[in-house]
Amino acid sequence: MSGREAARARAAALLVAAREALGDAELLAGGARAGGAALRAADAALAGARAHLALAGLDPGDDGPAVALLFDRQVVAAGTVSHGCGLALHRALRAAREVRLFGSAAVYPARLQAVLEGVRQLLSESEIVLATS
Amino acid sequence: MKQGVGPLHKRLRGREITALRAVRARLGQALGPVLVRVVLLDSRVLPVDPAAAVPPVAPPAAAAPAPGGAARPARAAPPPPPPRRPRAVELLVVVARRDVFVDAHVDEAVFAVSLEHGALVAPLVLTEEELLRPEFGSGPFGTALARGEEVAG
Repeated sequence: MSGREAARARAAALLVAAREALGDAELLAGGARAGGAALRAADAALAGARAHLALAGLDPGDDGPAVALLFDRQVVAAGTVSHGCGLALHRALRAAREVRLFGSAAVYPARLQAVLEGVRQLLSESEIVLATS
Repeated sequence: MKQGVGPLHKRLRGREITALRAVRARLGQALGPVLVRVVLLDSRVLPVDPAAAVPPVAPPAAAAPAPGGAARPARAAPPPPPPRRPRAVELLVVVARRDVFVDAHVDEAVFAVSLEHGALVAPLVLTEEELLRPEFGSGPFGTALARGEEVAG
């Protein structure tokens, strides 16, 4: 397998993991488990963003701030995906950080919905972009 | 929590300082009196290639032609210093009340600054009332808060 093929396979695997995490987040949100939903939504956003970085050979692993910085610079600023996707990643990561530190009350229903909507957009755009790259 | 510039501020350099000021200014503008204060909690080096995180620098303007018509020879600019590894700047944003608009403004400010300056600001948001709870005065967060430094507006 060439380096490019390996990077594409890694990106595809990350997108699958992202979809799975988003599915979990939606189930947890439906079951009124906001904290768990926010954590899985952040996993989904992180994996979706990492898929782009893996393709470019820049994946820094699961360090959220590192992924956000590189995703903004290399993917959003380059116009590969919309600004909404960059914003969605920041929103999801902060919500998860606050759940870990402060508990589930940090994500009230309207905020959780905003997080989930953003992650759906990020994954939809990423799937289109990565399928054609 | 300390007032003014202390050891946490002094660890920051260049675009991290600019980003911190820009986030503080954007939050002040967007939230108005709802923003109570911004506290610098910590910063840490990110495991990324410094060159990959730096915003592109605009090329220098071409030298203007001399009055005689010939272009002036451009003086060679000194090479820029190699970029440092970026840091994540961790903040606490204390607000008077919290709702979906406040949270949206915080996320937008951080995202805009990351795009503009190539520096990552990672905020947490709490209301003044929440901050009075005993659980926030102890543990790792309580320790970070006690060492924190207020960011001037």
